[in-house]
Amino acid sequence: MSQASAAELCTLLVRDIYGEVSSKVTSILLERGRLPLGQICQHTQLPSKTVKQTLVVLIQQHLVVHFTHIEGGSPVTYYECNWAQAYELLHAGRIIRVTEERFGSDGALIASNMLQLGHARVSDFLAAYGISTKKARKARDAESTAAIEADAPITSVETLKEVMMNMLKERFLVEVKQHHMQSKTDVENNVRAELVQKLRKNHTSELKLMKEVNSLVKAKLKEMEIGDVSEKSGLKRKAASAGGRAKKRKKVSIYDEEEEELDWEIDENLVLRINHEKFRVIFRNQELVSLAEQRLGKATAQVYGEFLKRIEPKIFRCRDNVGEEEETDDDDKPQKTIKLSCLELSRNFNRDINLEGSIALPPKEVKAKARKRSYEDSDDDMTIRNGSSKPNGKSRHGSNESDGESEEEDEWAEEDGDMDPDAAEKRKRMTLIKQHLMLLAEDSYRFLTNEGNRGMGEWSVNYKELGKTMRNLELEKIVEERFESTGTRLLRIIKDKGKLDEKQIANIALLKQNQIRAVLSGLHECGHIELQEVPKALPPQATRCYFLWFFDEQRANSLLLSDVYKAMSRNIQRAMVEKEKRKHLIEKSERSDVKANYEEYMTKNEKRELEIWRSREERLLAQLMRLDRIVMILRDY
Amino acid sequence: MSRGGFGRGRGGFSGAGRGGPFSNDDLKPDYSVTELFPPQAPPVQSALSKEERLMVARWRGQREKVHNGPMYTVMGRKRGMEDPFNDIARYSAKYRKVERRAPKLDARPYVAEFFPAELYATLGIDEKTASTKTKTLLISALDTLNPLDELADADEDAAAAAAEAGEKKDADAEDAAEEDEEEDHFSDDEDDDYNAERYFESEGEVEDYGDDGDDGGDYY
Repeated sequence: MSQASAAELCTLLVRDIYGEVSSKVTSILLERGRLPLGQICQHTQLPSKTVKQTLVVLIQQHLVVHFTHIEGGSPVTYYECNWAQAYELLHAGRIIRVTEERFGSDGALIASNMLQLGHARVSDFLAAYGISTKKARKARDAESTAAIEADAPITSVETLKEVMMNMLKERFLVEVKQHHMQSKTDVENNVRAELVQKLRKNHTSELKLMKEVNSLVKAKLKEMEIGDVSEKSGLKRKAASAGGRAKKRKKVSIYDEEEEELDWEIDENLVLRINHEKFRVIFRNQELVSLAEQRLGKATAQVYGEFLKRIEPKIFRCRDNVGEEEETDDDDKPQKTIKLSCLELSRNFNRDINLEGSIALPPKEVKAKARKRSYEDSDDDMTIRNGSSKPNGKSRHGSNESDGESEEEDEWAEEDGDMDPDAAEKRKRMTLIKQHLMLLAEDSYRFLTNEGNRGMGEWSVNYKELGKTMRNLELEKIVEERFESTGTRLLRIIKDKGKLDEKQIANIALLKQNQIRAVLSGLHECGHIELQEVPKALPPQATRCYFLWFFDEQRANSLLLSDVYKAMSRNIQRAMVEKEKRKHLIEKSERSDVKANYEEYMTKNEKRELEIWRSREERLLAQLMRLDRIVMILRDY
Repeated sequence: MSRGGFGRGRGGFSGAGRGGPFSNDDLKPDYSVTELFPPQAPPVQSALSKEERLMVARWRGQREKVHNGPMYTVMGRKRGMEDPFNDIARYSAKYRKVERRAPKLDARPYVAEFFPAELYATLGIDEKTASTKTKTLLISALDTLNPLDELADADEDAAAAAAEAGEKKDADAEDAAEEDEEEDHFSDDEDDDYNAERYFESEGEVEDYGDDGDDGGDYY
């Protein structure tokens, strides 16, 4: 169903990025499943040398996984396409953008290179850096523009290392292990076999053994997938003073102090790659923030963004607690909820976000506030030392806030006994933040869930529900586009009421039956709703049947997903056709002599035509990214 | 309403056949042939936001880098499939971007344990030679990121963007107008010293394009 269109899309993506030969191998692997080398050659009709080389490229990029069995005494290696990874090729732009925002252009450089390289050993990466930058810097010196120097990204290997370490800490990069290069089933079989062998002695009954093994396998697989999450994973203690290193450090004196403080450094033997899971979490957060912005306005969305950013390090995967199996064991779920209190949030809240006046206070509280202000002012005049903390606290108590907070209030009072205007400002800010958080919790989309009153209220995010909401919204948007408001209305009714007869739907929708019939069948055709027939009497006849419309979320989503994949494929194909039309022109513009003196060699017409092509491609790609957003919502969140 | 019509029809024209019920209505059936694909306004993409443009620029940049890197390969043309007009050897081929038929694998070090044993020979890994140590990764320098930043800067002034948008529209309109002209322009009229296909084309156009050719032809 969605398989075929997804496979087509992945083939096209690989073709667009890694060229025709790679895409041919990929498409064969997608079409036929896992194959040994000989059969790949046979199906692709390529010489085995080429296939081998291509496989190296694909394995390096994690697009193909492999596994070696012992079959009939000799090892046979099977290759399989990892289509999810192929889809991730589409995210390169997003990933680089996000790292750019978080880690500046240094981070973007690392991310971009890591994406190009697939995976790389840290030492190799650093060594390569030394060489390629020398050239780059020379080039820059030749240009000798002072302006560029200001944001000249990486100045030394040390800085590079540091940025890399931070990226590793934030899990933007993760270590590659052997099991990443194998397909999931193989990994699972391996783990299972190992466990069975280990546990066999303890059990007499096969059933019990299997039960235990099954539960252990699940846990182990999850652990393997997420990887080492401890703080210091992938880092090692710095060597006290190795001769060569010390020399190096002297050269870059600026970073000396920081380095010594850190005391940890990245393990150079590590093999790293981009952690796509992590980026998906970040994309989801972005999506949620933009949704909040539509619903509740900019300031609240910003607060929400900060909140999500704070809990982000604790979330490793998007569908961590959404997995099908895990719904059964509910008991360990409550522990998993990740909470964050308002107090903690406000501690390192971004100062650039202006919350002043973002929420209109009800008139009563404004008065109370005004009074408070006057207190503070007078206190400030007299003694800044131990002034406003007490009265301020009291006035807060007066304006009936919940009891749990009173302790927190005291805590606060102790913490900054000297309540200078700065602290008062901080407190005011905190109240504002809390109000925003409450707004988010009270919204019908339930952006946040209240978890208690500790630290001025604790909050958590129910990603599962929010994901569902987003999926629903996306589906409704598409239905609205296709069938206008009638379609959405009918869809909502069916969703709300369950299985319904056409007549009942017409009654509820306050429309005539013949008005809704076409829309309903249209919805059915697009796969948004389903039809079930229930015979009235035993020999089932079409005339004597109830026809009940119903909504099956999973099916509707998967059908829609396949549609979107197809649209994306067409989009890429269109771009390819457009490119083919201008093949000669593009070739010319890429010639080295033309590049050197572009203005002179390109005619006006050609330049214009190239400009048209570029803007067209941009629009097509932007559309691709928009579709990608829908895919992520439907599939990943 | 319809029921009333039905009754009346029956009463008035008993035995008038099946046209009865509709006889009094002012329905005028349209017997003209309906179009198979009636014109429909295609949905129009909304304008790109700045963030989107940046993202696309980054993606394109990344793709460009991969294309220039050692991993990108194109299929070689089969023997006998050459285009007799465009595949002739030219001086300008010297400048043309080189496209690989096979990936350049010996350029970088690999983490051998992640590859199956049967590919080791392809990777250039032998148990004995320690030459792999000397290889270095190929990392694209920072300069390649810069052009994209320029795009961002250009994007920042809204005025420029608006102007650009307007231009685009114009360009598109013009483009639609010269659709067929474009065809000739790119398939045959390469700027080369001798364009064989042009000889076979209608004579009238040769002169027109001759100018164009001269413009570009000087630099050889």
